[in-house]
Order: sequence, then C-alpha cells, then structure tokens
Amino acid sequence: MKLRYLLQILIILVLLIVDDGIYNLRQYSQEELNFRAEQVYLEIEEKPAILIVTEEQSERISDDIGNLYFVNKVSKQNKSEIIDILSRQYHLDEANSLLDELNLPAVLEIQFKGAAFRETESSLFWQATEKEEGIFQIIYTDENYLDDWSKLDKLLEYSGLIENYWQWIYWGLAILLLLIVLLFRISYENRQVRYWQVYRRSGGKPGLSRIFKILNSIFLVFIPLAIAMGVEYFLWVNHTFGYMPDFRFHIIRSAALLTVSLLSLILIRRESYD
Amino acid sequence: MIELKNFEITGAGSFHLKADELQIKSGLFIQISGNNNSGKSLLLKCLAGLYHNYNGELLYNGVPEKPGHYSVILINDFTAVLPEKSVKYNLYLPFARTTKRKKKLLEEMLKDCGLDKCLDRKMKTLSRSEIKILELIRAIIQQPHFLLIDDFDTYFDNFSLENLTKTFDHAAKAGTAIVITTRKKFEGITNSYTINSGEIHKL
Repeated sequence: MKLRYLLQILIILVLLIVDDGIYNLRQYSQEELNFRAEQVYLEIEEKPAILIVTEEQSERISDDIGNLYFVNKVSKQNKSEIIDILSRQYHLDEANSLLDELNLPAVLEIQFKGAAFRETESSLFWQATEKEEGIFQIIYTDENYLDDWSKLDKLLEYSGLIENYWQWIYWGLAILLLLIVLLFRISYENRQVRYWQVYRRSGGKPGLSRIFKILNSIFLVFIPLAIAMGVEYFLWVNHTFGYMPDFRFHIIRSAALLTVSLLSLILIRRESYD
Repeated sequence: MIELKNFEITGAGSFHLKADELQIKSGLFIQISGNNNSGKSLLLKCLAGLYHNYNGELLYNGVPEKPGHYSVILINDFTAVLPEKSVKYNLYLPFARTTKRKKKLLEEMLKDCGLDKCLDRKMKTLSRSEIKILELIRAIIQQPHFLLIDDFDTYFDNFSLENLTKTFDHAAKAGTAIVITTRKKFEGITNSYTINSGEIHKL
C-alpha cells in the first residue's frame, strides 16, 4: 500500500513538473517573441520619413502630422539650422549672409511609433500628406518597411499559435491532473475500506480513519506540489532557470488540487461496521 | 454497568424481543441463549451501539447510552482480520503503541491457547476457530468495558471454553464484562439468560 501511495505521489509530481514546464515555456516563448518584436519596432523607428516643406507652412504641417496616432516624433530643421549645417559642411562661413537671403525650405523628419505603424498606417500617412499644402517633396517609401512588417507578421503568428496551443495543452493537462488526483484518492481509499473495517471492528480508535483520509488527501497533493515548487525555486536560485517561481500560479494550482483531493472524500465509499 | 430497562425491539413480521430488566456488570461473564432468529445478535448490536431502533432505555452507569460512552468490542460472523497479513500484524492492528506489559500479557494468553508459535504465519493459514480466538485475545488485551461474542458455540465448544478460562480470567481482572450468545446453553456459567417467546429471562 505504501508503494502504491508513493507511486501516486510520483505520477502527480511528474505531471506537475510537466505543467510547470508548459507554463514557463509559454512565458519564455512570449518574452522571446516580444523581445524580437521590440527590435523590429526600433528598426521601424530608425527609418523616418522626410518631408521638405515651405518654412511658412512647416509649423502647421508639423502639428498636423505630429497628431497622427502612429507618429512618435516630428523634428524640424528650419532655415537657420540648414544654413548652419551647409556652412559647416561646405566651409561657407563667408557666404552665410548670402545664404540668409535665400528662400530655403524647412525639413521635417517624422519618426513613427514602431508598435503602431503598419500597412494601414502607411496609407493613412500618404493620405495625410496629400491633404497638406506646402509640401515640396516626400522622401518616404513603403518598401523600406516591408521586411519589418513581414517579420512582425511572423512573430505575431507564432505568438498566436503558442497562445492557442498553450491554452489547450495547459488547461487539458490541468483537467487531467485534477481527474487523476480524484481517481487516485477514490481508488486508494476504496482499497483501504476493508482495512478500516477490520481496524474499527478490532477495537481501533473510532474516527481515526477519517483523520487519515483527510491527511492522505492533503499529503497526496501537498508533497508533490512542495517538491515541484522547491525544484523550481532551487533552479532559479542556482540561475539554471531564468524565472522566479510564480507564487500566485502555485497558490492557485495548489488550492485547486487540494480542493479536488478533499472533495473526493465525498465520493469515497463509507465503511460499514454492521 | 449496562442496564436495559423496559427494552423492546419490534421487527418485521412477528419478530419481537423484550427485556424488562437486564444488568451487565463489569467483570461478569454472561451467557444469553436462544434459538435461531430469537434476536440474540440484534441484542448484541444494540449493546455495541450498532442498532438504535429500539424502545426503552439502555443505560450506562445509570446514564442513557451515547456513542463513545463506553468501549465495546463485538465479535461476530464478521472476520475482523486481514487474511494476507501476519498474525502479529493483525494482533497489533488496533494499537497505536504497545506497552511491554501488554506484550507480555499477549504472549501469555497466546501460550495459554496454544497459538504462541503462529505469530509469523499469515492469517489466512489459520482455522476459523483459531482466528476467532485471536480476535478474542486481541479484544481482551484492549480491556474494553464490554466484550460481546455472538454465536459463541459456532466457533468454540466446551473444550475451547476450558482452554479459554485463563484468558477470560484476564478480562474479568481488568473489569471487562463478557456477553456471549449461544444456541445451546453452556453448563457452568452462573449468569445465564435465555430468550423464550421473545422475552429475556434470567435462569
């Protein structure tokens, strides 16, 4: 009987470790995908659109474009800044006064929000710029972003797949675990019925069987749960495992298993002493 | 002491059992004889607290009986042993821990009954009578207030009774009252009752 009890604990422990593995694998995969997506967002943000606009209209255009939800920042280079750049780049210090008399346009550098800028937003950007007056030139093309969008599409697809399969596998395993605990408890105690009948009829302490049933219900789940959590904690402390155990997850899972284990007492056959 | 006052059981059909007054004092050996279906076993179940559908009063030391009031062990046709386990395992089954004194007493009683050599044998290798003797010894060693043995003559005869005298003496010394039910009356038992026409009479 002790061997049977130990075997039950071992099976529950293995299932709990698999459960932990699935839970943490999902967390790891999603974090990895998020990290990759963040990199793509940065790449998008590093590819600004350039608008060459009239100095007079530049403030208005900058405000209009800056209000679009997918625009992160609009930087303006005005006439004086351009003159400054040109004079430094081409050593035209002496020609500064001449340049000042020229009617130079302003340059707007538009940085997009990586997480919000996709094909639809690109069309919206085009539409927004078409409406504006005072734009000389738009240095922008969709093709610059096609690779990034394609990468994001794949990452989202993987993330969705993991999330969907994870839900099924995780909840399926959780239900399996609960059913196994229930089955183990009922089967174990039903095998013990004869023992408790004999114990009681031989003069053994009344009520002891009830205490043992409750203790067995607790220990059958408590021991593997404690080991599983202990292993996870040990791996985290030793940096073998990158995640700190999720105590909320452990508490919810323990409560569910313990409840099922104790509820199984209702379904256990009553001993008859008659 | 257990006392039955105006005790009455009315069962299905014409079954009826009545006792105006029956006292079971500690340390006594009481025999209740009667035919089949006279209600002997049911009476023991009432005393063991396993059957409550009766009229009248069942008093323990003058107070109405309540579960756990007194310790009682009933030996009847239920085989209260685990056949696959050893005799020793079965003998120590109800004890959380055993004192040296109890162990010594147990060895003594086993020797008196000629069962001291079978401690390591599996229970299933023993005869029905031997099993009942072991159940009896196991019960006596626990020193219950009452030891009830149903259909005593099914398992034991006059010869066994003589062999068990010393064992019963241990029970009497510990204050355990023994109540046995039999179909035929055993001679030499002073406290004898008989069930006749549904009524319990003292002989």
